[in-house]
Amino acid sequence: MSCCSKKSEFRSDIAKAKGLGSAKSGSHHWLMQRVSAIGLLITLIWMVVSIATIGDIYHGGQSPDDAHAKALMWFSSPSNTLLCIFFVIGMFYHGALGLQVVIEDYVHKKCLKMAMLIGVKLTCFAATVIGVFATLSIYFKG
Amino acid sequence: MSEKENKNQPRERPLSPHIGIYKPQITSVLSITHRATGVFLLLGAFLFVYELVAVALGGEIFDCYVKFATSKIGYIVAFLWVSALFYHMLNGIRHIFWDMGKGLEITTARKTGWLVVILSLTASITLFLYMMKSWGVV
Repeated sequence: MSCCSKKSEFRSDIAKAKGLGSAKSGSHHWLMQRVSAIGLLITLIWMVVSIATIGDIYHGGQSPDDAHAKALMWFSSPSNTLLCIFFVIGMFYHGALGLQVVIEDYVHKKCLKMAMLIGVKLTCFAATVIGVFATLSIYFKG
Repeated sequence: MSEKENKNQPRERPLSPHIGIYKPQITSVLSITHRATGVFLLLGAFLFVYELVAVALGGEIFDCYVKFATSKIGYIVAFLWVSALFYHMLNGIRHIFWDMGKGLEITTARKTGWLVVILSLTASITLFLYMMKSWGVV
């Protein structure tokens, strides 16, 4: 990739090792955004195929117990459960990184920006943990 | 107002028109849509976690969730989320090609932009019609 060789001309080896430069650790954010995007892409394609072939789960007129049983059936396979966990972790990680950039772009008051950034990251983390816990409890209980 | 206060407050100066007069183009519109769909997808992600919790707990919460999911607004939200997903995914791939230095020429960027729009609309409508059919709704 042409971008890699050009980048190293401007940084000393110690700078590269320490991750210094005006963007500091910013390029790590950029890279993780892409890496998580690729992970999510794979997970999503698998997930879309899996859910699309599931047929009727929630369609109207069906008894809620039936719907629940069908949902439990989908989760009973370990690969579907794993898929769901990958999806939850990937989604909130990628989303938190993305929202970080959005907040940095549009919020200029320092205290508000800090509060929103921290709030978003903690909320996404909480949602990840809750999502993983819910998925695992469906798998182990249902 | 004392002179000290006047010095500290920068005077409000007029701005030339910018967003209001700039011609919307495929490049700029797709870029802001990528950001908007990203935010919307994250909101939907929280709803997804709610669904997981509802399935896990079962009973009344699950019934309540199913009522929402099978209502008109539920299907609309699902369709919007799926469309946003396809769009964000395809435009994201376009972004990754740009990161590799490919397709940055304006003519190519415009073509790939339209390609993303057409593909994502087609994919989301097709997938959704297929799912609605298998659910017996359509």
